This record gives sequence, C-alpha cells and structure tokens, in this order.
Amino acid sequence: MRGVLVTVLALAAVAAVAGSWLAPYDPAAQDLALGAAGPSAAHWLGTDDLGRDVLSRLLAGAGSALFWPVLVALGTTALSTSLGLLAGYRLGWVDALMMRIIDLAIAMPGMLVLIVVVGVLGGGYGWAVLAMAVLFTPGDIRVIRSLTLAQRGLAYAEAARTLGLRPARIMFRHLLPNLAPTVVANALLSFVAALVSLAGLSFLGIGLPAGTPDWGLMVEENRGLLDLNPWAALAPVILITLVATAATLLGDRLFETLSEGGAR
Amino acid sequence: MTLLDVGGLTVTGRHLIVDGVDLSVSRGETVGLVGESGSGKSLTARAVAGLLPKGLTATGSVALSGRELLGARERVLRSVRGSRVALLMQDPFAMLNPLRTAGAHIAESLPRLPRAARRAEVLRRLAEVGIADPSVATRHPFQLSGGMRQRVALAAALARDPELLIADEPTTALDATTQHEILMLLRGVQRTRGMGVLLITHDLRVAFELCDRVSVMYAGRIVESGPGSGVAGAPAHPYTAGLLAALPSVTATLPRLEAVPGSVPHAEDVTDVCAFAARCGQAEPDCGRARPPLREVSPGRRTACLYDVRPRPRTAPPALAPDAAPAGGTLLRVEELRKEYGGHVALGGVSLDVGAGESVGVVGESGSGKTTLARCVLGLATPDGGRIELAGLDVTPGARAARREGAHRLVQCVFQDPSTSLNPALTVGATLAEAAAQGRAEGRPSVAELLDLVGLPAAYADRRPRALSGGERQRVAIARALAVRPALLICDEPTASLDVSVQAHVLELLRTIRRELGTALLFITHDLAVVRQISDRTVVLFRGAVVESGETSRVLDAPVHDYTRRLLASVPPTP
Repeated sequence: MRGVLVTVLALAAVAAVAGSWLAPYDPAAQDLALGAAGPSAAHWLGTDDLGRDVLSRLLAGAGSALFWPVLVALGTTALSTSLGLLAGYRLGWVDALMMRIIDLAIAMPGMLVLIVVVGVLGGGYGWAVLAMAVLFTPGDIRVIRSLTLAQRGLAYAEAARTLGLRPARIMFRHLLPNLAPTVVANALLSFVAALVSLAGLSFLGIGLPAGTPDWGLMVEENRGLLDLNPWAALAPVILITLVATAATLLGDRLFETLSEGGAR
Repeated sequence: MTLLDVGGLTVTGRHLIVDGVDLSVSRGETVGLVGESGSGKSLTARAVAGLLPKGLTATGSVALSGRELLGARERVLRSVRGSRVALLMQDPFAMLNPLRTAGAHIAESLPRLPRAARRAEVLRRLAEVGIADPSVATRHPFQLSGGMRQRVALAAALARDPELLIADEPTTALDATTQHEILMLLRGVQRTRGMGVLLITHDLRVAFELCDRVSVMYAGRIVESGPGSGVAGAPAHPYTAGLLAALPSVTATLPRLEAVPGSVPHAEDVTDVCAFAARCGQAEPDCGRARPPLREVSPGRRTACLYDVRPRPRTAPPALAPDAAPAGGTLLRVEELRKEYGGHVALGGVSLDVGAGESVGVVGESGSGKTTLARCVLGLATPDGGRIELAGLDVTPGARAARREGAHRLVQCVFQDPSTSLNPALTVGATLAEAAAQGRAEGRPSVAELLDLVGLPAAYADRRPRALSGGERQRVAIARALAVRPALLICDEPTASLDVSVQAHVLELLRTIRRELGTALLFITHDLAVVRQISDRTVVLFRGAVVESGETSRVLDAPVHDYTRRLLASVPPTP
C-alpha cells in the first residue's frame, strides 16, 4: 500500500518538475479546426474547445498545481513548529500573547479572506500562498504547543534544563525529534489543504490569468465540454483527488511508523 | 479444600511468556505470586480470570472448584467473574469510572435490592472496608485519596461475595502508610470471609507478611514455592536467595547490597534449561542440560533447583558505622523555602543543609513536598519565598540578585521514571557527550569513561534508550548527571520504579560514586530501607514541613516525631 502511495506522489513530482518537457504538444498551441474532440491516438485525453491538447496542458499545469502547495506546506510547518515550540516551552507572556492572536486568527473565515486578498491584490498565486500559510499556521501552532507542553515536563527535558543547555538547543535538538511524527503528518495535511484550496481559487477564476495551464482553471474552463470531451474537465479533477488522497494516507502511515520508532 | 487449581498454564503471544505454571489456592488461604517485572506473574493472574489481552492465548488448565475455566465460553466466564472470582487491580484511579460515584460502583455489583435496602447495603459494604463516613458513597473517584479509592475498589470487588479474590499489585501505587493499612484490611477481610486470595506482587516483604504460601516466578515459570516463613527464612532456590540478599534493610546499613547480575531472559530462550543458570553463582554443567523439575525438598516446599542453596557468606559485620561526616563545610543551604500551588502548600518553610560530600536523605510520602524541594534547588521551579545557597552562591530561582550561571556545574539530578529520563531520539553516546560538553573543559570525561563509571560497556554509546532495560537507563541517567562533575547529586526516587535486584545495583553504584568522587547526595525517597542504606543524615518531610531530622541511624532507631514512627511501623518486616 505504501508503495502505491509513494509511486503516485513520485509520478506527480516528476510531472511537476519535467511536465512541460514531457508534454507531447505545446500546451498553448491551438487547433481550432479540431475543436473539442474526444480521446484519440494523437491526443490521448482529447482536446479542449480551442483544440489544445488536454494531456499536454495537464502535464504543464502540474508544476504550478503542486509547487505552490509544497511551498505552503513548508512555510506553514516551519512557522508553526518554531512558534509552537516557543509558546509551549517558554510559556508566560509569550505564550499568552500568541494564543490570543491565534484565537483571533482562527475566528477568521479562511476562504473568504483568501478570495478578498487575492481578488484585491491580484497577480498570480504569490499572495494566495502567503495568505494561506498565515491561515493554516494558527491551528498547527496549537497542536505543536500542546505536544511541547507534554514533552517539556518529561524527565529528559528537565534533565536538559538542569544541564544548563540553551533553550533553543532544548527545543530543537531534544523536543523537536520527539514531535516529528506530528510535524510530518501536519506538513502533508497542509499540502493537501493548499492543493485543494488553490484549485478552488482557480476554479473561481481568482489568481491566475485565463488560459494558464492549471488544474483548477482547467476544470472551470472545460466544464461546459462534458458532452463533447468529458476528459478535459474530469482528468484534472481525478488528478487533484488522487494526489490529495495519496498525500493524506501517506501522512497517516508515516505518523504511525514514526511514532512506533520513537516509542519504547 | 482446593478452590483454584491451575495446572501447566502456558501463555503465548508472539513469544512464550508463561511456561507451565502450577498453582493452587484453598478456601481461607492467601497465596502470593512473587516475581520481578517480566516474570509473567500478572499475565498468569489475567489468564486465571479469563482476561488475557488480545493476541495472547492460554493453554493448560484453570479449574475453579473443579470446573474448567480455560477455553470456557465468555458467557460462562461472565457468570464466574465478579460473583465467584473478583479482581483488584494496581491503579485505583484507572479502575474506577471517573463519572460515577463510589456508591454507584458498589451498588452496581450488588444483588437486586429495594432502593433503601441497597443504600444501607452500600454503606455496610463501605464500613467493611473501613470507610465509616457515609458521605463517601456520594463522592466521585477524583474526590478521594489513593487509599480511599483502593478501599472503594475492594468493596466493589467484594460486592458479590466472591470465593476467590485476585489482587494484582493492590498497594504498589500507594504511600507506605496507606499500603500498610490496605494490606491489613485485605488480611482482615480475607480472614472474616474465609475467602481465597491470590496476591500478585513484586515486593517480597509484602508477600511474606501477608501470605500463607508463596510461589516465586522467574522467566515465566515457578522456581520455588512453600510457606511464606519457610521461603523467607531458608530460600531453596538461588534466585530467591538473591532477591532476599538484594533487599535493603530498614534496621541496619548493609556493607554491600548484593544485586543479581545480568537480566531476566525470555521464557522462550530457556525452555529446556534452568532459567536462572546464566545468572546463578552456583551453576553446574547439569543446569544447562535439562530443565530442572519442581522437586519437593520438604512437605509443602518445592524448588526448581537441582542443588541445595549455598548459604551466602556475610563477610563484613552486619551493621556499618556511618562514614565520618566530611569536614568540607556546607555545600547546599536551604532556608525557609516556601512554595504554594493554587491553595495547596507544597513547601511551608523548609530549611536544610547538605555538607560537601555528605549524603542526606529526604523522606516523605506523596504530597510531602520532597519533589518540589528538589525542583526548586534545581531551578526547575520558582519558590514563593526563602533562599537557596549553593557553595556560597545565592541560586534562588527567580530572585533578582541570583543568577544561576554555573549552577548546573554544582548540582545535577537523577529523575524517577527510567522510561522518560532519557531522550528516546538520541543515542546514549550523544546524550552523554552533550552533557559532558556542559562541564568545564579541563578534565572533561569521555563517553567511554562515563559509561565505565556506571559499569556499562562502551558499546552502549550507540544504543538508543529503548534498547536498554530500566536499570540500564537509570545508570545512563546517573552518568549524564555526573558528566559535569557536580558537587551535589540530587536523586529523586531513582529506584522507585526498579525491581529489587536492579535497585540494589543502582544503590550500590551511588554509594561507590559518593565514596570515590566525593559527590554529595540529596536522596529523595519514600522508602525508609533505601534511606538507611544511602544517607548519613535523614530529614523527614510531612505536608511541606520538616518534622524530624538527624543522623539516619538515630532517626530510624529512635524516632521522636509521631509521623516518623507511623512511617516506620508501616514498613513490612525484612525477612
């Protein structure tokens, strides 16, 4: 099972890195005479209403569909892990202040904020990614903080304090490895949430200019072609679902393996 | 008349765990099943009750008054459990449902009765376990102390008047004085009811004090059985003899605590040989050829040893004069230390001194403030008032003038729980190297030297904590604490979670370290026998206040305060 999950994600990664190069056609090349045709030997997944090759557009779009969510996951994880460790280890006013800010942040309607931010500022996914990292981080900080609280009371952490180690060393060398299962699982969940949210934004026509090869945008642009070439809209939906499911399940499994390894 | 008859009981999971155990309990008899962790005693008890965890299977025979229970349907077992066989577990908090009152727990198991009669019956049952206050029936478990909870649990277990009570470490989680009360209660109830009791315990002293007959388990099998007094007086198996020799005494400071070398093998690896041969001081080639049968040495006495146990040479005189107090001046001075948590007073003005190279014991029960005291000295807790001085330096945590800069080179700590005292993510070597780097550069010990100091092979540096036994982890924790070569080592119940043979090893190690390195010890414990072995002076804490202090031999032989006397009376006699 794990082999299948890793294979799915590895293939997605290959497509993201080398998609444009693997694409059989120029993703932007139009063949109006062809129109929206179904799958054929020349066009495996058919063409859209402008006669553009669906497979090529999927491959070319894999980059942006996967790169931004990875960026969100990395940003969220780095931010939430360090802030969560800090709050849970330091406690006191640092913790109190951070928790109140998080209470506020969690009360904000996420998708709405995203739509407003990207709608007002425009210009690609850049702002959306930043907004998303800010939106996802508070929940993760809470999780990391509560785990840190539990770990800092254990004898090994107290022994580290007794030895006079610097707080940063205790947090990152002693506590962090014992939080690893949760950190890894959280990172994958952030990736999935970002993948689905960004596709959603594209579908709503927010973020990328029309015509960009992008999975979410393709679903929106081609949803009228379900009778002529259903693959034009279905294929990106299937890909998003597949990658999201694989990442979620892998996160689950990694959590279990890592926890077993760390436990006695 | 035999009530419970266990024959050839074998429990297998992924490995063999219990290997051919024979046991019998008669009406009105208390039988003790004694063994260290990993001996299979608890699983034996669970197999008898038909409560083996998933994945484990039992074969052999478990007969209650002639009726076979092993392999019986769950329906049959349900009709037996509670009504004929009752269980009393170790942790009185986990055993009671936190959402239900004490009375509800007992009423649940009582036969059907009208409401008023039931209430009266609940109160009568509570009175039987020594709870005279009727309001206890309406309280929830979290409102009761550990001893009270164990009493309620006992009343619930007895509600359907079982013929056999299986008590699995019923007093291990309790304070010494409470433990004594519960044991006496158990004995009283057993005698008035004429009930059979199977007592599972790791504590030899408890077993000998309470049981008519005792069976000693080792690596999944019974190695010796017989009347309690007989086994205590003249053990017929080298393992039992080793355990008895490892027991610290409360009345005398032993010159040397004898640990049993090595560790318990897996039952599976020793099916065809004597399980103890590898650790036995008097093993002969015969011991490795076949499994020694349980042979009868005298009526009622059986041993799984081919030979007679050689008496242990008691070399030095039994009592050791306490080391002359070193004249190094005061190392640690605690003055009027106060700390409150919420409304609870943990420390109500505690003062004590530790001289350089001196060993001071701090004795008290849970809630006496002994751990809070240690945490304040270590800088892990900030006291509300008072002063802590280390080697002339004010190190009171939180005080403005005090900077704990360098305090970590003066005082280190060995914590109680070996399962969490080492970081599971780091190897032993990484842990020790990091600790050593916190000390002064000149004369910094290497990892190999540190491991050697605590008697572990240098190859252990590459291991992670989970590949170590509890005793080994605690030794690594001691090495970590000594890595900065502190002047004072605080030991917070370092042996409370260890088996008695391992405890002897760790205590002996601490004594050696003190003798050879001149490290002063502040030894926190609830065990008076341990304090007798390790400390020159003893301070008795009770509810956050020092009630008695003085030379250990004086405090333990001629206690002045009433509480110290009660503590001493609750220690089971050392055989």
